[in-house]
Order: sequence, then C-alpha cells, then structure tokens
Amino acid sequence: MSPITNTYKVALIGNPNSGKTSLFNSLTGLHQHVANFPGVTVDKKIAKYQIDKNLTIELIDFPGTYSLYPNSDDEKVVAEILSNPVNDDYPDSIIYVMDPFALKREMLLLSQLKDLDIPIIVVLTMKDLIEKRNLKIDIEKLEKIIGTKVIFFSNKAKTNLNEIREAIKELEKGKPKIPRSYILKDEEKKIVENFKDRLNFNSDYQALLQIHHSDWLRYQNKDLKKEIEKYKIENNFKSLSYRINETLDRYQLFSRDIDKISPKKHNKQDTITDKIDKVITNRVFGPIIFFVVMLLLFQAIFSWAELPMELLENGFSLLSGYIRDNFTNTWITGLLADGIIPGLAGVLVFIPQIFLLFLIIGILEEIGYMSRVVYMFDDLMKRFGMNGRSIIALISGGACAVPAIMSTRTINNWKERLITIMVTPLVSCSARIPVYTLLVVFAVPDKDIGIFNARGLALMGLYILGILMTLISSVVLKYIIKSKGRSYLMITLPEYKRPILKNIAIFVKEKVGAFVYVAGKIILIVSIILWFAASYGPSGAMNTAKADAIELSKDKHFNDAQMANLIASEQLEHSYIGILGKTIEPVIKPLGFDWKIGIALITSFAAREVFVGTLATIYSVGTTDDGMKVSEQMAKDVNIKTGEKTYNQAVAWSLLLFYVFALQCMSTIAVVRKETNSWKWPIIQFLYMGALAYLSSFAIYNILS
Amino acid sequence: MIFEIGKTYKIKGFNDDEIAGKLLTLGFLPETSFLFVRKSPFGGAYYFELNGTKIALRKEEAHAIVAEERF
Repeated sequence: MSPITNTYKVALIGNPNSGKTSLFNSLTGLHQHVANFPGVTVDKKIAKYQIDKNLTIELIDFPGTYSLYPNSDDEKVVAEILSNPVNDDYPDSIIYVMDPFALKREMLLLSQLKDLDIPIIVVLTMKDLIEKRNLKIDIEKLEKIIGTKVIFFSNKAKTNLNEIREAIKELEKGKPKIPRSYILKDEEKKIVENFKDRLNFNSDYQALLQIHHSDWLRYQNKDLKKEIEKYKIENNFKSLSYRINETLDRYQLFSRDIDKISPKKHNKQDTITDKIDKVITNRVFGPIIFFVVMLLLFQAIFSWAELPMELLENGFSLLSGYIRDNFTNTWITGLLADGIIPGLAGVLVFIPQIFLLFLIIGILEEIGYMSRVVYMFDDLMKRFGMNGRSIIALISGGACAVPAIMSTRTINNWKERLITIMVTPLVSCSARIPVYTLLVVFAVPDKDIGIFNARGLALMGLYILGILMTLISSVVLKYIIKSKGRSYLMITLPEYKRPILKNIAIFVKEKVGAFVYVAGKIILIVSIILWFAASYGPSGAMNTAKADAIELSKDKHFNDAQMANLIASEQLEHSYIGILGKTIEPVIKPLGFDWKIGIALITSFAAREVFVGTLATIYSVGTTDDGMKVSEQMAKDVNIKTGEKTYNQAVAWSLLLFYVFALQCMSTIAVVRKETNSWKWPIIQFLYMGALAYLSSFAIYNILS
Repeated sequence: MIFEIGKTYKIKGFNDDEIAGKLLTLGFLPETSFLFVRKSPFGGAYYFELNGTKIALRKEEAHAIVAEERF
C-alpha cells in the first residue's frame, strides 16, 4: 500500500513560443505523458514526480495562449480551466513562462492570471541568448513590477532547474500574496454581483471571465447561459468592447515600467534572424527554398527509410515462417503467423518513414522555419479554403494521415480546419507506396524517357495527382462548407534558434506514438478480424476446397510447398472473405477488377499496403516471398473465359487511380471521427473519396481497354 | 489604410473591434510603432516588426489598424 499522498498541481502557462514547452521538457525529461483535456482533442502533457513521502507534484503543460480571451480550441482550454475553480485540472499554482524579448506582450496574460487568485512564479527564459547578445535585464526591478518571484532560466546551463523545483516547494508550503492588477469597472462589478450566487469563483475577475465566455463555456448550464445573455442585452453589456478596454487598461498598468527594463536592440543593426529572413522569406527565393526543402525532405524519407523498412519486413516474415515451421499447426499458430504478426508488421514497417518525416518537420519547427512557411503560404492556402497552418498537416500527410489530421488542431477556424482534415488523406501516404510500386510494373513499361525512368515518372505523377486532387477538392469544399466565425493568420515569427535535441526527440515520440497507438491499434484489430474471415468459411465449402486442391496437386505432381500454397489460395476463395469478394464483383467489374482484386480491396481497409500481402496469398506464393514473386504470379494470371491477362495496362492504371483517391484506411476514418466529433464528416469523406476513386478508375479503364 | 514596405507607422486606433481585440493581445497598442518589413510571396500576408518581435498578419487584419506614418 502506498501512503496517502497529496497531489499538488502546477500549470505551465505562457505565450506561444515563450519557451514553455522547452522548459517543461527540461523539468520532466521523458517522464511526461500525453493525454487529452477532458472532452476536447487538445493535448495535455503531464508529468508527475514525488517531492517527498506525502507530496506529489503534477506538472501540466497548458497550450500556449496570448490571453484569457482565446482564438482557437487550444487556447479555449486554458480559459475554460482557469475560469473554473472546480475543474479537475484547476492548478494549485502557476509557473508563468516569459520570453525576455516580448515582455510587454507577455505581461498581458500575466496580469490576467494575477487576478485569478492563484499563486504564481515567473520563469524568464533564454538567458543564454540575452547574454550572448550582451543585453541586460534587471530581474529585481522586474520582480518589483510583477510582484512575484522571477527566475531567469538558461536552457544551456540548466543549473537553475533546481531553483525552479525549490520554488514550487515553497509555493506549496504557503500561499504568497499576489497583487491584483485590474479593478473591475462599475458595469462589470454589477454583472458579477448580479450572478455571484450562481457562479463558482475565487475572484471577481474569474466570475467576469465566466460571464464574458458564457456563450461557449461547456461547464455552464443552459439556463444560466440564457439568463446571462438576457442580462447582457437588457443592460447593454458590451462584452467585446469591455474586453478591449480591459486589455488597454492592463497595458496601461505596466507598459511604462516594462519599457524601461525591456532589452533593446543595439541601434538599427539587423539581427541574425533579420538576415536569415531577408532570404528565407523573400518573395522570390522563399518559395524556391521551400520547394527545395520539400524535395530534400521526401527524398530523405524515401531513401533513408528503405533499408530499415526492408529489415523490419524481412524480420517479421522470418518470424512468421519460424512460427509456422516450428509449432504444431493449430488455429492459434495460424492466427499468430498469418494474422497478428503480419498485422503488427503492417504497423511497424512504416515507422522508419514516419519517424524520419517528423524528425525533419520537428527540426524545421524547432529552429523556427515552420512559422515562416505558414506566413509565406497563408494567402495561397486561403484561396483553397485553408490556412497557412494547413501546410504542416498536408506535408505530414505524406507519411501518414493520422498524425497529420491530429496536427490540424492549431487551426483556429473550424471551416479551415475541417477542409484540411477532409483533403489531407488525398496526399499519398507511406502505405500507398508498396501498392504503387507493385502495380506500376504492369502499368508502365520499364524504359527510359530522357534521363528519367518511365516508372519513376509514373510514381511521381501519382503523387502529383494526389496533390492536385487535394487542391481541387478543397476548392469545392470551400463553397460547400459553411463558415463559423472569422479566420485569422496572426502568427508570431520567433527568433531563429539552434534546435534542442530533447525537444525534437519528444516531438517525434509524440507523433510516432500517435501513429502506433491510434493507427496501430486499428490495423491490428482489423488484421485479426480479416484473418478469421479469410481462414474460415461455410464449413462444407472449405473442406471441399481443400480436398480439391489436394487432388489437383497430386495430378500435377506438386511438391509439398506448392500444394500448401494451392490449398491456401483455394480455401481463401471459399472463405467468408472470398465470398464477400465475389459478392462485390459486379460492382467493381466496370473498373476491370475481378473477385480476387475485390478481396484485396476489402482486406486493404486495414491499411492500404495489405493489398500486396493479400494478393500474395491469393496467387498462392506464400507470405514469405517478396514482392517480385507476387508480381510474377500476377503477370501470369489469366482470365479463364477470355484468355486475356488479368493485369493488363488498363486494370493496373484503374487500380492505381483507385488507390490514389479511395479512403482505404480505417485508422483515418477513426481519427476523423474523433477530431470532428461526429460520424458525419468521416462518412462524407469516405463517400466523396470513394466516388472520386470509382469514377476515375472507371474512366481510365474504359479509355485504355 | 495602405501600408508601404520599409516604413514605420504609429498606431492610432482600429476600425474593427473583433480584430482589435486580437491585435491588442499581440501587442499592437495605440501609440506603439511598427515597421512594415515585407509582403508574402503572393502578397496577401504582411511581415511586421513590433517592439523587436516579428509578427505576420493577413492583409485584412493589417487593414484594421489605423496608423500614421512616422518619419
């Protein structure tokens, strides 16, 4: 039994780019874990550590925000929790993180926090940068202006991590008196007074926040909302303009003092950031540099990930083979060797690519490049109904739509975010590559066009096609989806800085983790279900199929391996999934697909690359064989009735287009359901992408055949 | 109002309350000066420098600022 311990909750709060997450990482290392704030899809990073026998500190990293008057869902979480003393995440104290280069702006949120009656300590970051530039900040004076303890923190030295931990302990022992900042005006006092019996609050300002945010706060009941709304109208309570006046008043309180101690740029000299931005965000060079960076990024993930992917693939098929050869053949070994292990392999094989992509995005983000990309392309993306921030999701979609769709949370406008979610799966992801490479062999002859290989060009064409359709669909959606509220760019462009390895490591861990836990779970479950559907069928039919296969093998003098393969393929044909494949044949026939392809289309709902594995089983080449063997078998496959090859150019192109467009991915459907909090959008997405796939496959098949 | 690249402006007020509320939280305050550094490649977003920090705004967001040129 563990002794009863108290948990003392400390919230890390600050502006975006204040160095907050970096400080959180320094304080907690890899001990942190990511959860969701209840009821919303906003990441909540928590770390717990025990200070002494009966005290545990719980550190929560809140989303970055500029004020308690929020813009995006992320920022709303901060206002919602801090305005509600009975919220589970309501902190016992706050560490407020400040970037010394933006003191004045950051004083605003601090001044709001001071009015909540929560103990605060301030951590000023980037000490190293201030010293490097020979600048000075008078910490004592700053403490006097703020009225709380200020710790000046250097990310390099880390000596004062203990100082911060000690300060938290001090806070826990006794509540230091925090001076209030803003005095409510008469009309604000009146409304608070009017509702004070019906609100739960520690300070008048907290009550005022509940009244200002009454239209969206989830913890307020409907009746109260109605009454507040009624009061606002009847008493001409102008929430928006009062908030503006409050903000201006707050700035008045500290601006002059803060101006005196803020570090100033020496004369008009350009900083390093100015010099870099002159080139990087240049109207001509900016987009060119971005384009080159993207080419390098995708070149890197494809070439560097190849070897580890191959190793993983071979490793798993060796494992499957080992289990099959060394254990008695029961349904458990079958499930393990042909269901679970290939399912796991299907998840893990993509980790190298996803890891590399997010490693590079993480580095670009950490040094400050990504916010420049958002700035440069916001207006272009706006024409497609999206936001500059959508670019990061679209790039991530090149690896996997699951973490990509999750990264749209930073987009504050619902319409822009929804469009980004709806079109991201059209960007060709890692799981399509095995399908493309297998099919392109049948679609394009192996010859050179100029200095390029024709098949290589076709692959690139498929990628470009995906991107083009992403843009076209977004334009269409722009006219269909109704807008809720205005959209904003308003983004601060941080100073360029050297990346901190730990921050990147944690970023990558989170993204890869999202893929493994969200997509991985589904891929695994679907693989197991599919294994059952492929291994079992109406009992009579399965046995007959086996007997037939054995007979045929004897006639043709097959060896044991060949016979086993034939049995597998015959049984698959008569399994539940085989029946399903035959059932859908009439629907897919116009696209040039037979029931065998139908089976592969169904199984690849787990993840697209399962298509390749299923064909391997159907063409009875055994799962241990590599892709080349599959394509050789496919090349031999002939339509019994017509005598024509199944995989002619028309069928191959038809399948390729189908995989470019169709939403063949359960994990994506699940994540879209979660992020949009409804079944409506994943269903619409599945249907519109399905329609695109069907129509384009139909068209190309009929043109080519 | 129309801003010119390379010029410094002093904020006098705003002509849109909703945008004003957000700009204030970013430090765009009356009587504060900012420098218009450059436009985005497609011209729809502006790169400003304000109190030593860099902030990008959409054209429409910037046009909510009422300002006068500082010489």
